[in-house]
Amino acid sequence: MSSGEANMTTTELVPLVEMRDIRVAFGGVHAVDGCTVDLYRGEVVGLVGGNGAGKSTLMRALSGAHPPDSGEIRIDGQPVSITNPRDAKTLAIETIYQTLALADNVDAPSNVFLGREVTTRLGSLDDSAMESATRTVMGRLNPNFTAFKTQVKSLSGGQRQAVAIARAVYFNAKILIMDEPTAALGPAETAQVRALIRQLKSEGIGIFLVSHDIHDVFDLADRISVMYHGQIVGTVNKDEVTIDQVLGMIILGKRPEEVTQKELAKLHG
Amino acid sequence: MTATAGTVETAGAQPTEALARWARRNAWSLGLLAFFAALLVFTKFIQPSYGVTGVQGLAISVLPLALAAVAQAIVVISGGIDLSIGSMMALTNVVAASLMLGRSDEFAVVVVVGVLLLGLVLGAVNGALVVLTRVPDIVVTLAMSFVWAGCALLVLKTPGGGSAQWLKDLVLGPLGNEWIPKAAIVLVLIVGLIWWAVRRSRFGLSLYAIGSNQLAAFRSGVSVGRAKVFAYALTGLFAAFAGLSLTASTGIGNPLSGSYTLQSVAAVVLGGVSLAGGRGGAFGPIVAVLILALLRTDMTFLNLNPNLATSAQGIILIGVVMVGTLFQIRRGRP
Ligand SMILES: Nc1ncnc2c1ncn2[C@@H]1O[C@H](COP(=O)(O)OP(=O)(O)OP(=O)(O)O)[C@@H](O)[C@H]1O
Ligand SMILES: [Mg+2]
Repeated sequence: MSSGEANMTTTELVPLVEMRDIRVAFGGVHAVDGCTVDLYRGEVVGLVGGNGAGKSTLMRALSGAHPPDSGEIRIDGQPVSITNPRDAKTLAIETIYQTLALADNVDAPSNVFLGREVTTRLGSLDDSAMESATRTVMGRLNPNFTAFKTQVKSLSGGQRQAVAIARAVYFNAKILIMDEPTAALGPAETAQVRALIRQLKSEGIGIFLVSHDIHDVFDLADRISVMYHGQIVGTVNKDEVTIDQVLGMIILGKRPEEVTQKELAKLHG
Repeated sequence: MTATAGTVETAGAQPTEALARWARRNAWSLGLLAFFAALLVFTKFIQPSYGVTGVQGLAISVLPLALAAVAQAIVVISGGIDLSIGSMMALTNVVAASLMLGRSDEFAVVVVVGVLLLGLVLGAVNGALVVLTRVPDIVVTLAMSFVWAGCALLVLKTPGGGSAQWLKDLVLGPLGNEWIPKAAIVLVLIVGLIWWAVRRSRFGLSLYAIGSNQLAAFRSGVSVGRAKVFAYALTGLFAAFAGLSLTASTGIGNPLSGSYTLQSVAAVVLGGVSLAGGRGGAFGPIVAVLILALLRTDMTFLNLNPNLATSAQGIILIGVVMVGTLFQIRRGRP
């Protein structure tokens, strides 16, 4: 494990995001139980774990959708308080949710700008400005997209996903949370999203990528944080582990060096 | 107007397409309007003497319910429901009537403004309670309907009070042509101006967004609580308009005015506003009110028991909801 001691104060070594000892409980269920993760500029951190491990809950603490019970979040080294999605957006944190968060009965431009509408000098909605901005950003993401005036409920899963991504990209996110971004997509759209992740990463955006597709994660991530029953089993550099070792962490909840031969044998059936 | 060159260009590019889209979105309301026109012809057919008097009577009698229906539409579009609209109407109605009795015209102006503000406050209280207590809208507003109704009885125990003459003149009788009722013009002006402003505002968009998917709206950064309080306040404002229209058209205040709440729900549903929220407008419910009122008139012309009209209204409503649900199911799973 490369644990570069953060004594140096050059900005490169201050993580973009630090989440320390985050806890979230639902009634008696400790969904997130003391998690610590970080993310650097231009980095993709894969967040993996079984169903119900707490990945979405941990990410919702960062996106403001469900503030943590305790723990500290630092952005660029500064402690911040994120109590609702607007706080997160002010900090340039954008989220693409596992369950798509779109308002079905309004059109794509309104969804992209929802909560941050463009208004004219008189204070009324500037529909044409919002539409042309959406056309521009969509041209980059999904040139085939033309449904700018229909309600998003009549769009396909891929098109809806494009709207959700457009919303995140348009507002110049510094930190992007993608919770299962390709779960509902066909092969072509999945390839598009992968290409987009690489592009955003090259632009210096930090990305938390939650995915069940271990190959996707190995393909895209620089580091991988593994969650198990609400806790972080460990964070590994992708180049220093094998897929099998990460699968072992996901299933057994132990770091590779703690796994016994017997457990390993069982894992391979 | 203040349209930018860009708007003109995009709008002018395919005017027929824009028109077609508008017609598709308002298909239900346009259908209702056609039905209302047919119903007018039918009325003339069964009662050849139906004419100016009938139209004037229709306009003045539907004004309070039409305003109440718009009030209900706003909050239903936002995903809520307000069962206290009738009580807010009664309260604003009696406050206006008791304050205006025997006072000057100038004072009546102050009363009208004050009563409209009162409506905003009543609605905002409803909304704040819904947001803060997290008790379902239907429960909060049902409870508040008793509170506002009680307040109305404190103001006036029995029908009484009065109305300034100018307020009555504002809604009674024709304007210019004998066929054009003042009440209709007042309705179009109030609803047209406010609704247009709402649709063009950020608040209007959040109204439809929270009605469509409250969680999605919240995650997008919409202040859901504030938008809800706004919606209820606006509903209160329209309930106050409705209450004032009662004062104006009847000339008195009545603490026990009719069953406006449930009728407003009926009009909203018939008018194409989905009870699930996020869909519909102000136009459909108003036409629905006209249809329901004219149906009632026709039943008296046909010498049917007027109580039957109430039952018929219920049957129509169930039919509409069923057809609407069928359409939604068919659209949802193509
Ligand atoms: N809003 C909620 N109310 C109650 N319990 C919740 C809520 N959200 C999540 N949980 C619980 O918290 C735990 C973690 O859920 P979470 O959605 O974070 O898991 P996940 O790792 O994202 O799983 P998946 O891979 O299936 O998406 C689960 O036990 C879940 O039941
Ligand atoms: Mg999840």
